[in-house]
Amino acid sequence: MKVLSVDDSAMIRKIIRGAVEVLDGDLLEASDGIEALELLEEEYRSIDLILLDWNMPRLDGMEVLKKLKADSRFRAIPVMMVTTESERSNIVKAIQHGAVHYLVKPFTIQELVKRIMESLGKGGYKND
Amino acid sequence: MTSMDIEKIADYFTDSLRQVLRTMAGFEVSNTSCDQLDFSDKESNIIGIMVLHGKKDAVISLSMEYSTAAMVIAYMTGILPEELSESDLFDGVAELVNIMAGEVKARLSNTPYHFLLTSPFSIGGTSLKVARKKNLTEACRHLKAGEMDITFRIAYI
Repeated sequence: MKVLSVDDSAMIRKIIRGAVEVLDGDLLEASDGIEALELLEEEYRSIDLILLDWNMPRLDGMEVLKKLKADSRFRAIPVMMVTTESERSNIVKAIQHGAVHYLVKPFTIQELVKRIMESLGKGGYKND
Repeated sequence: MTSMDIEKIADYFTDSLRQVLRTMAGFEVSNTSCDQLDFSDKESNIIGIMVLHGKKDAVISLSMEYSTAAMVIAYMTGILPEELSESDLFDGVAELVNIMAGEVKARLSNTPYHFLLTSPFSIGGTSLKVARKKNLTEACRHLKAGEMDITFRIAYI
């Protein structure tokens, strides 16, 4: 299992790394949306899940999500938002644009692991 | 804004911070008001800051000693405090401010105090002192867990 974490906080990426390692997975990291899209150009075939922050410099998470879902190469990769944006309207917007899960910070490591597993399950449509 | 309003808003922020620390670090912290904060007796500090854009703009800050930041971030990440770099601490304190503010943003979304988040940042060093203009509408809270002290401030500008 390979997960891409896109978050401008190194601390959050370290927490996510811990959760992914619990699941015996590998983590790729990007600190903003532009870096994530550049990384995906090379790696998209091997990535099983993207964990995406909302508020980031250069290109925010919602714009990244729209770009992912508009690109046939990336569209099938499940995306879980991991963000401080907890307003209902934002959650609805993200789900409407194709996010499979929405995890609001703060979260426990157990909650994060559970949501990653659920998101990977929902990613079953990847090869449909 | 009345002094009662800002005290209530300060409580929202500290409630949020307590929840962040409980959920992500496993700490229970107590919360008290504070009159003045004097950094001069502290060896070194990190201050995480965010500007809030709303009908009235505000600045929030979280300040703590390096050792407190290291302990909190170690519990949050599962990495030993001595293995954390200074940049890890700066990033972690800024992210604490971000998470705390995110919860309060949602809570105040349908009130006159609704605000937008901006990018948080941290400053740090020894014997830091913060000078403020007089007569700001501001509030302060002190959070404690054992030897750890964290100070939250909000000022409407």
